[in-house]
Amino acid sequence: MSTQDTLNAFHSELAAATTPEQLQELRTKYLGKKSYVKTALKSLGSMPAEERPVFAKEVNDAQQLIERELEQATERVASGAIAKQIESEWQDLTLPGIAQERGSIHPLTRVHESAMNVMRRLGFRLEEGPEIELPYYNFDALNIPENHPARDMQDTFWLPNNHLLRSHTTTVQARVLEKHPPLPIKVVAAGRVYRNEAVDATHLALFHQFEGIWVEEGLTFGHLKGTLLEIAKSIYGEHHAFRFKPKYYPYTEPSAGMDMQCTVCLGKDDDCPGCRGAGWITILGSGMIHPKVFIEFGYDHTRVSGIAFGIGTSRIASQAAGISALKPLYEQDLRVHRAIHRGGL
Amino acid sequence: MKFLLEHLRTFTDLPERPHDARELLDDVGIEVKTAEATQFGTVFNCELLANRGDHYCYEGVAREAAGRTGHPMRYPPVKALQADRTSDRVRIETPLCLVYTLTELFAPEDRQDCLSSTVLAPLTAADIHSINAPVDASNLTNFDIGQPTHAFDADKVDGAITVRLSRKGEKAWLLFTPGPIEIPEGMLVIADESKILGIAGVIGCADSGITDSTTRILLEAACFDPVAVRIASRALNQATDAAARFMRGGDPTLPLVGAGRVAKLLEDHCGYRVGNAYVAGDWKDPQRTIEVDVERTKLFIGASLSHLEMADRLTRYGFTVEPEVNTLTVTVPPRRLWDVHFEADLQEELLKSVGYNNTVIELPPVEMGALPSHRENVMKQTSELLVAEGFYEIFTDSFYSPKMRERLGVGEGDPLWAHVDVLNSQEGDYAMMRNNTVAQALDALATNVNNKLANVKMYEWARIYMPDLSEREILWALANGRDRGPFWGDKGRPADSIYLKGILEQLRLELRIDLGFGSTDGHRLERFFHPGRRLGIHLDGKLVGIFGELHPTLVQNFGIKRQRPVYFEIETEALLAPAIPRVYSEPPSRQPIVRNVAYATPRGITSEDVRNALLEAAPPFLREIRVTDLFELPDARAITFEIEYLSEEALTGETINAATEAMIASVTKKFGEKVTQRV
Repeated sequence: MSTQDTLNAFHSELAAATTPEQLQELRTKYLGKKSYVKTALKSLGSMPAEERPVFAKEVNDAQQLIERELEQATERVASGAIAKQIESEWQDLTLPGIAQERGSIHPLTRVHESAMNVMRRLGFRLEEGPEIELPYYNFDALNIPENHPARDMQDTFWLPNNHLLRSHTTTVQARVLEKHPPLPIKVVAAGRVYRNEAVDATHLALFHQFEGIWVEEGLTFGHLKGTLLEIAKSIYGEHHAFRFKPKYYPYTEPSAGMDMQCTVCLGKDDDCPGCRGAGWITILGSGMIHPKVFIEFGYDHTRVSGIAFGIGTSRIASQAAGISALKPLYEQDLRVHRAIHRGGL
Repeated sequence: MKFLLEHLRTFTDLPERPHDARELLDDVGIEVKTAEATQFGTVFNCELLANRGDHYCYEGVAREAAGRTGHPMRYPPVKALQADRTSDRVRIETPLCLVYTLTELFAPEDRQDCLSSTVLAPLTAADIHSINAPVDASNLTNFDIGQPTHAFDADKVDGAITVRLSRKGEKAWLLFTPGPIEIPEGMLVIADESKILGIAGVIGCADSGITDSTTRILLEAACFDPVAVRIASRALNQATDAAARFMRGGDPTLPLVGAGRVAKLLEDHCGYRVGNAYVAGDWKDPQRTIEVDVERTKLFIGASLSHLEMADRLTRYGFTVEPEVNTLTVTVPPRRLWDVHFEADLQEELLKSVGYNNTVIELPPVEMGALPSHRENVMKQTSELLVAEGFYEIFTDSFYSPKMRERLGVGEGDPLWAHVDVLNSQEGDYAMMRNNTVAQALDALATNVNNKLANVKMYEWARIYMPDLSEREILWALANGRDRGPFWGDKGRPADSIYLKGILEQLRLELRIDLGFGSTDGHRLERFFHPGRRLGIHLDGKLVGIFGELHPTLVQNFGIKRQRPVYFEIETEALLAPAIPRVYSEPPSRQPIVRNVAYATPRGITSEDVRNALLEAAPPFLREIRVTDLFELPDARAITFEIEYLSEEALTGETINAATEAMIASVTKKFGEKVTQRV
């Protein structure tokens, strides 16, 4: 068989090959040990010297041609196979996706974490305290003596042995001040508080607070306002308007409430259902720590001063979730939590 | 408290537009909750500061506004009364009464409807109905200047009037009540020679009160100790306007002024004749002074006021000020003796005068932020793991009712019987503090199952309350239904105890704590679980939690049918254990070699038992034994183990097979025919 005959036969068989396996067979047949080109190259030594270069070139060219065409055919067959596979593998991607659906942390936890992120930037750390408390930490140490009208502000659940359920997380602050840690003291207290009230959509026996104190020499009322604005803007956004107003809390003097401009009417509708025409919604209570509280825990109130504030996380969480009452936050109906988590998606 | 804006304007100048007047009041701490248009004009419903008794009247509110605006105050006309301080018509036997006055008033023949609707408008605006002229005049005076007064029918008073403490067994017939009641001993009362005429500062008595036919009146105006009034008000459950005023601290200089105002109204409008006035009480103004450091106050309030400006502003609130360049010496007026004690109290007055929103705002210098604590990190990591598994965080009540305890099947003698009782709960559901969270978890599940939501996963960082009043922090989670989905092509598998175990194993890995599983013996919740489907969670040899399927009977007790909820509880403290340090081991250069072996095992012999038997004969080059399949029938089951070998040396097939045979022999030796190898 001549080289040309071999090439003719190769081309004929190559044209018929459509699978990788058939191409491999051709490779073995035309380039393998027993193939024409290998046999011909082995026979070169026995050829006359003058014929050898011409024949060698002819066989080498044929070998390179076969290799090249086999490569091209392999690529062609492979891409054809993938195209065929793709054509046969259509999937209906309008079907719903399948993946473990995430649950969610509670909206209150979400608000707590947002607020904590801000507080940490300012150097605050979280402090825990008991919910079952002594009246001393809940009232007396905080300038709320027995038979003071301020005790009416916080109807209390009483427990045996003259204990109570804390009515505010300020108890934790009292316990921190009592320990006299080095200044500055920057502490957040957060968690459950209890009020012995008739329960309805907006009043619960249990809700959550988030409070902070900052005790240091030289803190001023301007620092209180600056700190609160930083916190409020971080939680609610820079674009809101805020204001301060006098309030009364037994453990702060001066005391201040902080309002955010009503997001429904922007203070322009005297009949607004969101703010009842006030134009503002109270978001937190605050003040400078009362001299009597400092005196109670042995601090020199003429030397140190302190910022204190409390945020009703339950209210913020319900606002953020777009629900008008606090109660749904404390429901165990997962349809509610799923709706809050998905928020319309 | 409701204030008629037009009447308020008679005390001081206010902005013309009601909206601006409202903003001004808000700005000085008189928070206007609602504004209502009425036939008399705009009525503001205000929330007053709880410590400021002097705010509970038009004059007090106007003074706050004037303190801010600097406009002068105007006061209603008052009849000057000639006080007899020597008469024995009135006596005070206790220091709990600071000042007591009685004024004689004589009614004219014709005294019907003498106070016009315009005069009564402040009462009408506050939804207070007209009774008769003396009562209306008394109410108007309290509204206007904040001095409560009370009218006795002089013909019903027996002899001299004494302010004293009530005696044991003494009775009084309080106004608006059906009959006489026994008054607790030691309560501050007003009495004549034979009976109690009224509870001091709280309420009068029916048998000494005036009627339409009363012609001679003894008008009481006084100042009582705030605590005594509060105790009486609460003990008798009588929340009156007078009590609200007195318990926040009255003005000891005001009683005779108040009586004079009532007298003036009745004299001018109704033709009453004013008789003698009698005064008892030796209260002396303590003339409390407070030094104010001018520079410190300037810095503190953030406003550049001179010492004279400060003095002027404080004077608007009734303080008397001796100004020096560096120090103000401030004398507190009697009406403010109850709430002004410190320099900070006066700084608050100055802030209100300048306006809280008109002073400097600055952030204190912050050196460095803080990082989350280990506890916060652990809680976050744990929550993230559970949330990724589809769990929702919830908050449940810290309370529960005796009914809930009954549902749990907890009887007397049970370790969970004792609770912290709530002594004064208004609702039965809050009678006790919870000492476990299983009840809340099942209650939550019942809610969801009733809402046709059976695939439930929830968790809570909770506290439970021990009978010794201590608290324990736990993490609990409940799963019910399927472990995932359900999806259209994948129904998942049951969210069972094995599923929960998997989560706990993931938690162990995530937090790198050495949680182990073993006996539940001694766990207080053990009996709430299915006996064959529960395990204890152990850490450092201590039982720190429990997990498994909740007992079917318990589930039924909560009205939940055809559900198999699983639950775990673990002490938060255990999760906070120090993390085991990470040790890196290089991935092997060779590929592992695997053999499979299956066993039929009877009930009671666990996969762990068989695995341990295999391990007893394990060669040094054993890498791991894993369960890869479980086939269960009601009376039999088969477990397939995958044994993985790995060595840096080349292992021959013969070596591997010999090692496998040795491990199989170990199982046969240990269990004999009870455990049989399956092909």
